[in-house]
Amino acid sequence: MLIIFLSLASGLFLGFVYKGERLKSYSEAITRIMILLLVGLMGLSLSSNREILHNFFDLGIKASIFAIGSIAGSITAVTILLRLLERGEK
Amino acid sequence: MFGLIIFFLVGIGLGHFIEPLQGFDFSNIIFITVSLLVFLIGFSAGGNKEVFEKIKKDKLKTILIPMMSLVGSITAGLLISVIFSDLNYIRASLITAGMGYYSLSSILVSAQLGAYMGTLVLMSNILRELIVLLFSPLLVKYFGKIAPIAAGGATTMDVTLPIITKSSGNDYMILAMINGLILSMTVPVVIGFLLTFAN
Repeated sequence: MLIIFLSLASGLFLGFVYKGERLKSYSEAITRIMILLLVGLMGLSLSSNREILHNFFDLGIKASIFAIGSIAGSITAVTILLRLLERGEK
Repeated sequence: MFGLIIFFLVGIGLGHFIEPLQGFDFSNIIFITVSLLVFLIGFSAGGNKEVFEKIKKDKLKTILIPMMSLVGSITAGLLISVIFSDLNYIRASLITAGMGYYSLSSILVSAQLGAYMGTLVLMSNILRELIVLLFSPLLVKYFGKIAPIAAGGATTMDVTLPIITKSSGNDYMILAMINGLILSMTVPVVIGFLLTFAN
């Protein structure tokens, strides 16, 4: 967790100091490619883990319902919060 | 969007069919990739004045968003518990209180409630992260720019941060970062609290 923070902090600092645009457009392009790689790695690590794969179909339906439900709950709650805050500002 | 799903499926295919890859621990490689990505995102956003103005303006919002997101998630767990006769409301809310923080929440839960619950917590929260990773652009389209942050839970500070900044925009980066940080600190406490009622 610390390393992630240091990465972000050093990136922010360098981006703050460096005012040019060229390197930044490169870094945005590299970011896009790396996101794809990251998602590929996630798939790879999921399917190479036999234990997860073996239990996948047993528990898959339950886990999916909870995953989708928790996402729906969070989005609903935060949307309500933002509406309330907006109304408070007016 | 399609690129993401294709890469994900290719990854699954490779892991499934290439024998030497099976059982290989990818967590370190994933960690390094995420660290590099976060660095690059910081670099792109560092010179962006809007980002810093946003934090100053929205202090209250940045704290309330992760809290409401957690409340919504646990409420969903309580509602879902009605469907399953073998999961009481405490167990169901333990699953959704993980907020995508699957490593820690599954360890905490399996230590007290056994492998079945541990695996369920693990899978449900991995799926939560995956859904955000794959469908953030759709979440933004249908539920607004805040949706992937609410959905991503504790993962919005690292794993899903890149895709959230890509789909919601650079000015949501700090909000996502703080959201993930607050939830990563809150989730273990909440799960520990819920576990005291579990049996």
